Amino acid sequence: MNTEEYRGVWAFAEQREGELRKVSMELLGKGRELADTLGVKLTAILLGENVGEKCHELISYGADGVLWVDDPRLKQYQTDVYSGIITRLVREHNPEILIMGATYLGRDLAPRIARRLGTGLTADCTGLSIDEKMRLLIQTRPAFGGNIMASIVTPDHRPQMATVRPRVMQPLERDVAREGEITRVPAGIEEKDITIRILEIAKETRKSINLEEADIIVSGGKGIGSPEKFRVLEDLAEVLGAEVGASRDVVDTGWISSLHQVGQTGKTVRPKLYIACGISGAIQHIAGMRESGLIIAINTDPKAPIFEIADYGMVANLHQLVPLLTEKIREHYV
Amino acid sequence: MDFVLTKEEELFRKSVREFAERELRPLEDQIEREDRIPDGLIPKVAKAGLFGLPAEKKYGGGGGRYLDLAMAIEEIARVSGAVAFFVAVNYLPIIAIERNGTEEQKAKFLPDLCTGKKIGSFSFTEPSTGSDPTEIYCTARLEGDHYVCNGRKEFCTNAEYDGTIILFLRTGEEHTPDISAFIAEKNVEGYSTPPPWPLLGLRGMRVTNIELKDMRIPAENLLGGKNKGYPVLLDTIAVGKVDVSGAMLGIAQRALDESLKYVKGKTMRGKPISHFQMVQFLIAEMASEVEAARWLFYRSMNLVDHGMQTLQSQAICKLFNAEIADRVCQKAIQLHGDYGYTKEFKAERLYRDAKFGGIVEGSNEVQRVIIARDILKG
Amino acid sequence: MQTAGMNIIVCIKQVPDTSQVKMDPETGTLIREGVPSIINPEDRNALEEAVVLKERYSGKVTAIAMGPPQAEDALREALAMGVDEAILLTDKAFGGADTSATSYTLGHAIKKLGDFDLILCGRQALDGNTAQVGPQLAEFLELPQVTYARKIEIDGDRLRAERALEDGHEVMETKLPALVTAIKDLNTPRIPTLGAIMEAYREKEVTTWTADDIDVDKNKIGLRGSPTRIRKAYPPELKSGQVEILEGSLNDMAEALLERLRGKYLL
Repeated sequence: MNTEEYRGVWAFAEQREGELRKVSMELLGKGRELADTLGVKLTAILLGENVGEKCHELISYGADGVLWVDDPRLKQYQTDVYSGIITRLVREHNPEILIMGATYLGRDLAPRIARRLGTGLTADCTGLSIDEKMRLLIQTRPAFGGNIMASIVTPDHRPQMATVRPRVMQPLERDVAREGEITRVPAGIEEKDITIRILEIAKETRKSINLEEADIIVSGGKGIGSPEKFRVLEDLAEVLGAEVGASRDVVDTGWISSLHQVGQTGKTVRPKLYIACGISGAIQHIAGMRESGLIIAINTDPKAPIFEIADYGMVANLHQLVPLLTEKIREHYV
Repeated sequence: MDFVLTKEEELFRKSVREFAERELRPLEDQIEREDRIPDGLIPKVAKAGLFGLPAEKKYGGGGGRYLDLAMAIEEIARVSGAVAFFVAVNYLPIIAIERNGTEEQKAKFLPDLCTGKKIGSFSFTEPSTGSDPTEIYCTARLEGDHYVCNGRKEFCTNAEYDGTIILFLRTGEEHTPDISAFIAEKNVEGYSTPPPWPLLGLRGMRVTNIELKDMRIPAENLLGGKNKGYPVLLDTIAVGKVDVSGAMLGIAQRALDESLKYVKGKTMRGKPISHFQMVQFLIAEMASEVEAARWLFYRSMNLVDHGMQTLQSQAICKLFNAEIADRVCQKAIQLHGDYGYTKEFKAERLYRDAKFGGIVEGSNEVQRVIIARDILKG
Repeated sequence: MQTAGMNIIVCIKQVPDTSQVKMDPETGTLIREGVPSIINPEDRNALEEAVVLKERYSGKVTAIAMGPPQAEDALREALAMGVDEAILLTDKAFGGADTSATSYTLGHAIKKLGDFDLILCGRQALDGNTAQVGPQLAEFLELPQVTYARKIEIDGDRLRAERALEDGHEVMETKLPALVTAIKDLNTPRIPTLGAIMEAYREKEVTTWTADDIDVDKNKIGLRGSPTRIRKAYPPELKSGQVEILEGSLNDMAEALLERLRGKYLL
């Protein structure tokens, strides 16, 4: 593989039921930066049924061009069909970089494509940049359960592939006036590519509370004030995709069910992020959450013991600060 | 002499620990509160192969060693002392029958005990005696091909559960050591148990008296020979001390685990209290005591596997483990301070659970007599 | 499917128990010594499913692991769970492999094993978390794949599986042979009994294969066969141990917090 012959940055635009997933715009935001540094074009790849109008969206979020494939058999994602088309396009156009979202779909598709093309793939990148001297994509990701950061490169194979988790990269500002080249390409699907039949797709509402498995917990204590005011934490939990926890006090007072209780007589949790709101930090509570990855404390009392084990603390009224956080996250990150 | 666990032993220990964490941990508070072991738990313990570990495979046992049983009891006790005792007491009839029974008796009684279909008990103690065979007053009188039994037994664990019990009854003259061991079926006519004794600790482990009123036991259930009951008792206990020692070790380990968790989390003047030397000393003492107890315990079980255990070796192990468990749990409460005195934290339950070790199956005082008598012989 | 039941292969990996890795408070670096090794949790779900299918349909389960010699313990544990045969792929030449080289190596070993009906893997490993080996192995062997499986049913030569999605699930069907990656929700892995453990260590065998045994192109295995290279590895930002109090107006505090959360890849 002569790497010199490969040019261009490609971003896979994931769609679901005809709607573009947010990660696609985030990929374009980063892709734009990579393409500008390299002095090449950014192309979005879009597969689906009746998704033509979405091509302009992709241009307005930073793509210079869109390769668009439309076919009824692309309505539902299927590994072999999608990977067949994308690898064919890659071989026709030789991009040097191909980035995809590390979604359930992306993690099913990207490795298949990488293997078929015989190239390297780095999953769940938290950072992407260019080594200009060597014209290499530097792929940064956490390893060893998140305890080490690794910088990875694919020196001798093309395209350099990477997947990126949702909400890690920033999309550009939408610019409807932006212009680009939209090219429809034939699907070229063969029957033998269709190896899977999808019988049913179902949405599920989250049923049970699973604090012990949660990655993020937003927890409330006496400072919440009353049962209705838990709403404030529920809103924050929703935008973060988090579970709601509680100290023993508020459970005993009946403001929330004991299923949410964290602490010595409640559940022991180890989420990546624990946000303690209006919780004083008595040992009974701390015993249940001390091993959380990152601890944020919000309390009006600067002397509250919770600040002794927190990583970041804010002396503030949670009823004012939390809604503000929720709003900002919703605006920029959801 | 190799003090390192083999890969097999490590995997087994890990497996029992996982079982205890998965199945017992969610229930430990409920068991304490309700003073019963949930029915659904017994088949799970059986499925995990935890009944009958050292019994021979041909009788439905696991074919393992007493050392394996020791590790299993320790890991179970780390989560629930009550369940550990429940499982461990079940082993006493298995041990007694395997070591003293005829082939017919082994084939008849061991399989159900090893698979948890029948729950075992072992009953020597009476109001008049805890260890002295000359003060046994429950009688067994031969009538044709049955013994007819009368009297009251005291403090018997698992006595309410259907299953197999070893009963020690007087078949010889009063005030002599002439007692016999019998294999009997519980909950038959003439066998009844009043409500259990409310206990200080190990709630969930149910201990009751037994009223024998003309209970009939087939003569072929005589275990180990007429009037040979006392040697059967001593032999079984020497091997079976595994239960108490193992449970004590597990409880002490848990007390240490809980204390470590506490001292790393509780802060004073901006620092975890583990920074203070006083706390560090207590932790160091507890860790040393648990470590010494563990290796003494494994060594004692290893002796049993070699058939080399003596009254003295087993008494030393039991005495030491019971006493350090008491000390370690006491220190755990001290470390927890005010919180240690509340039911919110585990220290107080562990302290109450540990107390049993110094009383049951030969109190600390009895162990001292046994050790001294044995050393000073000749 | 053969009338003799199902021939199932399970790929497993031995990983350090990352939940037990401790941080040195002085240097902020990992203490890797003394961390116990375990079978990757989702691989245990794969093993359990394989054994359940064998119990239901009869057949044979083979576990295969690529790793250093001590990975044998993981295979013994697999044998104790009910697996029939175990293969350890171990060779210095396999070292330093990325997922591409790993799937190539596993693929060749599987080809040597002959015909099979189903390959089961865990979705991702605790230490790498890439979730790439399963799909890359499927591609190498040209098999249809179902990832994130939380329920599997076999009907003759067809596989029906429930695949988890971010917000629900889909039910898919494909013809065997196929490759499936398992997630935690698939089942509860059995805990081996003492008898099974003793049998695994004393009566069952772990076969060891080196690179020469599986007829691989030496340029496609190990570090040499890995398209990706680690250029640098470094510890993340140190935890100082002291709380950082964010100050200023409510807006300042909120912005400062969000910036820090982004920096730690939590947003």
